[in-house]
Amino acid sequence: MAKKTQVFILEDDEQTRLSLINRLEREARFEVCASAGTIGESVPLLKTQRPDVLLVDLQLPDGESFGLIAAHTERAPDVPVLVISVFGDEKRVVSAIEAGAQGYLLKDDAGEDLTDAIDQVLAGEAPISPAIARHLIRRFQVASTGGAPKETAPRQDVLSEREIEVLRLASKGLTYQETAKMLGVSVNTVGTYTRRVYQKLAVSSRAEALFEARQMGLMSVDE
Amino acid sequence: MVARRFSTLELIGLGALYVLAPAVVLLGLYFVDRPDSPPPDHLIQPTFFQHSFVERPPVSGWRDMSVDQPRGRDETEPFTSIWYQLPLEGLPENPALLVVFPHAMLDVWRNDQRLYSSGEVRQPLRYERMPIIVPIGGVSGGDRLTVRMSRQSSWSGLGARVYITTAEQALRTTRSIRQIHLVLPWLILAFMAAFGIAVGLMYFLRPSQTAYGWYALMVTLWGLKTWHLLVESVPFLHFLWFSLGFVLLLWLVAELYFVNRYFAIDGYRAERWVSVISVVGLAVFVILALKAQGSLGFEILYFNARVVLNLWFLLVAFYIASRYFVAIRQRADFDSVSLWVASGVVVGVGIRDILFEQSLPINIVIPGTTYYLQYAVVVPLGLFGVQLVRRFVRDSRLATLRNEELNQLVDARTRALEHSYKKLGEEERLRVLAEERARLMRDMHDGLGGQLVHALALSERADDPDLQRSLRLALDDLRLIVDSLSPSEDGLQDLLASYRHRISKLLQRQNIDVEWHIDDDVATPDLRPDAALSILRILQEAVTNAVRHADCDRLIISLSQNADILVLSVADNGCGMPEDVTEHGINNMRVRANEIRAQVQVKSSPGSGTKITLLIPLEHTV
Repeated sequence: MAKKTQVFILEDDEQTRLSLINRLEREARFEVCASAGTIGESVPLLKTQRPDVLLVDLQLPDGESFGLIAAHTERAPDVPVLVISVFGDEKRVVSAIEAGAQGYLLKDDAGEDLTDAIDQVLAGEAPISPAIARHLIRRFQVASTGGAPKETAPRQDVLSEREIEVLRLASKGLTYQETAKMLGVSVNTVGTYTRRVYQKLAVSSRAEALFEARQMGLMSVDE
Repeated sequence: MVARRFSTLELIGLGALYVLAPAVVLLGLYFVDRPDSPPPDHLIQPTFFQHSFVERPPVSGWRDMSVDQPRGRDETEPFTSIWYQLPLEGLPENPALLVVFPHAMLDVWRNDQRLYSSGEVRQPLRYERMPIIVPIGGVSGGDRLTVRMSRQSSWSGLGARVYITTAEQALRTTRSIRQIHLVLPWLILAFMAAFGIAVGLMYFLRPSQTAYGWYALMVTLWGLKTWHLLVESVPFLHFLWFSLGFVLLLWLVAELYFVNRYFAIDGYRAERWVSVISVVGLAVFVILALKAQGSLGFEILYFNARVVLNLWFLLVAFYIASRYFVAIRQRADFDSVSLWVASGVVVGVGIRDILFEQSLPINIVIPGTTYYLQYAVVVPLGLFGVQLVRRFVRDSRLATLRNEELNQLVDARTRALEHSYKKLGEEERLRVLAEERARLMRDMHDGLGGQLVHALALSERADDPDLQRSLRLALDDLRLIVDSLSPSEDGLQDLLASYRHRISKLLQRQNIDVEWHIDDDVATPDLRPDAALSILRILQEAVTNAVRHADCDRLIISLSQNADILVLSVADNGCGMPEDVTEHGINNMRVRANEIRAQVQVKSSPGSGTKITLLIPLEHTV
């Protein structure tokens, strides 16, 4: 029997946490190896546990979890982090992506949606919403929307035409399937493009989150 | 600015101009100064003149005349006299003596009978300044006519044209001379006074430009001098009036200051010394003049002081000439050329006046009836005046121009500031609005949203499907509210994208194909949040209806813009329903549409699907 996908959950509301665990464990391939309600609780747990994927709420009683995401990504780049939130809340999701997260989930997503998203991330893809796509387009100063760039774009990374196209279609609300059909590529490829965009964003802007992580003591200075 | 220097050719031209200019001025003056004079053979020659005053001509055979002369004066008396004497023979009918511009006291006798007298020869002297006519009476053999002209101090300049001619001719001559030598000088005086006042006013407006002030002072002093030549008696300070040297000296000092400032050449130390010496000298001179009244010793001192003062005069004049020279050497421009011309005029006319003066006692005919220098001085004064006015106008224009430039700059800056202020205000308003929205969203997200998810989790455990559905509906609606509050660039398009993304999985699970036809030209960047929410709710209602009740496998959602109307439609290929149906939330949709003055059209018939169209007038949604 194949090894179960180990999931770590950081969510402060106990009922929601239980519900998430419940929804995940309904599927035999998932196992919640550990869960925590605060950042403080999760730090020692993450040192002992070896999860395959992290589901992390952004707003926790002891602060926002960007630092934790950054520290974790620095330590274990291969273990993807998914942000769980009630809404798209794109601004904070983008901040989480900058810190190293690879997508987001809605807390009330039905079980299938939840496991789909985790599978997607484990397959090297990344979920995206139109609002996040719009944010990213602005961030990378892509002129496809015709609007002037609102923020300074990360300098070292320039998106490829395909990546821009994927973002543009995502911003219009097209699903990966629709996008893949339009671009004549596989669904998997579309997800990979998104993942690459996320990585480019993170590479150029994770420093701040890392600094925060050190400030919060989530990482040692020499780490 | 580096001043240009004159080239050789220009210097030659300037030399020619130096001679030409006074010639032109003299020609002009001669043209004006043409009185109806008696024929030259009516001119009589003086017989005797003496440096010191004598009561009678020391000529043998000179008959006794009663000369009303204060006694007790000796030859040190600082007066000079010139005598004319002739036998009354071969005279025309009705003869008269005509003396043109005596500039002295005049006495006329026929034998020992006095025909005319200016008064006693003592201080203050009353100089005759206009032509004098003395009728002689009938001719009888052996009678003799005697004329005496007396003046203070040196005899230089003493003497005049003396004619014996007909009374009618004398009258004509007098009349024409008065016209020329009263009307013209007064006109010039008035003109220069206007100039002086104008430049004085400029000085008042621009006190930093002291050249204006010195010029005004110069003109005033010149005016004083000219006035003195015109009036026959001055109502005050007679004793000083005869030595108008002090006016001239002050004039020279003013000129020195003016020239230095006008040409901006350095000479401040020298001018200070000159002015101090001049003023002190003048003070001494005035005291001596006052003391000289009735005291012989002081009169002698006074006389000598005049000589010294005259020498000082010359010194200052030479110094000023050197200043002119410096100015001309330093700059080759219109100013220095005009100055050069003016000084040529002054020198030329001055030489003519000296010749005229020297010729007076001996009647060598130098054209003209009087001195011209006081008029010629108008040329430099006028030129300086014109230049000063030009300078003033130019400076004023420049100042106006600068002012305008400055004003424009200030206006532009003000406009820019206002603009950026407004923009800032607008941005601030938008920022506050965005912040408020963000705060509201955070509250919903962290508070209400979290609570709803919590409740949903609880209902799952309680296995209460109704409650679950109800909570999901609440969450969905909350998401619509949050979406409608999200700032977006493309308005409705962005909202539809988010909605599309959210429902795609749901519809996929229900095996419903969705076709989206979103017209890219639809642009509603300023969509109001309440309008956005109403539209989203209506759309959600329509989609939910189709999914739940229509039993369809195909959905077409389209958005287009027709002029100012947005057209949003949801069409399914389901079972359809009667068009007048009010259930399934249709009524609800109409109520919501009404809030934003939109219209809901339902097109359906059983078996051929349903199309719900929402017509949104743009003017009410932005």
